[in-house]
Amino acid sequence: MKALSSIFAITFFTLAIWSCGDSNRKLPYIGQHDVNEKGDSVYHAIPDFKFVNQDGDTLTQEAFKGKIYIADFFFTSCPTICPVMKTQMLRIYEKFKDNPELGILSHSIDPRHDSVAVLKAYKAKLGVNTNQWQFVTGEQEKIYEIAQKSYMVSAMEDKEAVDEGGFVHSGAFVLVDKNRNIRGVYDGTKEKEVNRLIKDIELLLQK
Amino acid sequence: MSFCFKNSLVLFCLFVTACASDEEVKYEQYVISGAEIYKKNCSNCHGLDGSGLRNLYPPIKGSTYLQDKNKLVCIIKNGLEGPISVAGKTYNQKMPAAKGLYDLDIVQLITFLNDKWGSSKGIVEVGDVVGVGCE
Repeated sequence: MKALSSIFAITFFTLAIWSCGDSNRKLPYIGQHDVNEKGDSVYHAIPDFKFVNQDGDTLTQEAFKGKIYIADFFFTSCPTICPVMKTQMLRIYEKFKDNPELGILSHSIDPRHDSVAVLKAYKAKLGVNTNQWQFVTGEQEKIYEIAQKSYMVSAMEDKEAVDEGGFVHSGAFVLVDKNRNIRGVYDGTKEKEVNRLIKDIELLLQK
Repeated sequence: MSFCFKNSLVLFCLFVTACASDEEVKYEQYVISGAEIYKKNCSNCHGLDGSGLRNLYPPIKGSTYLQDKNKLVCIIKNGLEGPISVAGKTYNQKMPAAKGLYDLDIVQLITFLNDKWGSSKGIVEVGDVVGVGCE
């Protein structure tokens, strides 16, 4: 009898969780939380930025106004994790292709080599032919600063890291919402983590 | 899978292993080690399935480069720069040299590449590549 009731309990519990579904799940706010004078929570947000994209145009936060976007850091001559990250980002790109509410922003951490022309060719070779996915370059210091302080991922030059192509950087995909708050950080080199990211994007798009 | 089938499969495997010649065992070892080396050094760009990445990195599958062992050894050892044509498409992305690979690693890798994606399978021995002169 005891066994029977515990089976009931488990079944009930499972059903209860299941019925809640995915839509009630809430994504966390990543980074430091502050409270303003009114007593409202203020979450860590991505500040204004200004870079140059693959077409030589200035790209600022305005390009992602009213959108959620995924940010990452890479360089075109990277022999290690970047190709894997790009393979995974292509999955996201293809899944949400032409969705005006989702953007992708890939920052080069090797602006000396990754000129506008190099980024343009790289984007074309990946088969990305819309504005939805932007590749940017700019002042190296500014890119490292926004990576470390705002997106909270590592990116730096390291001449010792010869096998890595002279740079060390994280393979993170950072999920940013419409208010420029960070809602998730995922390992862009792992298929499973990117599956989770895709679910979280869908969740955020519903809101 | 039925119990009986599973058992006969185990027996079959034992039987095959027992009968395999030293050459065959060696070949299998090369292929297995080569697969590990591929995964670690090559698959980031060329893909675990050898299909490359779009127009950025060329596929290994169906590449005629597999047929020229000497050339292949040099590409693995020294990397490659400049435009190349693979399976009718042009690629132009620098390939870094695979430093830290010994001749044994390289022949195991080539044996694996041919086993998996080449038109002619067969073991490549260290002796086959040791004298290869690269530019």
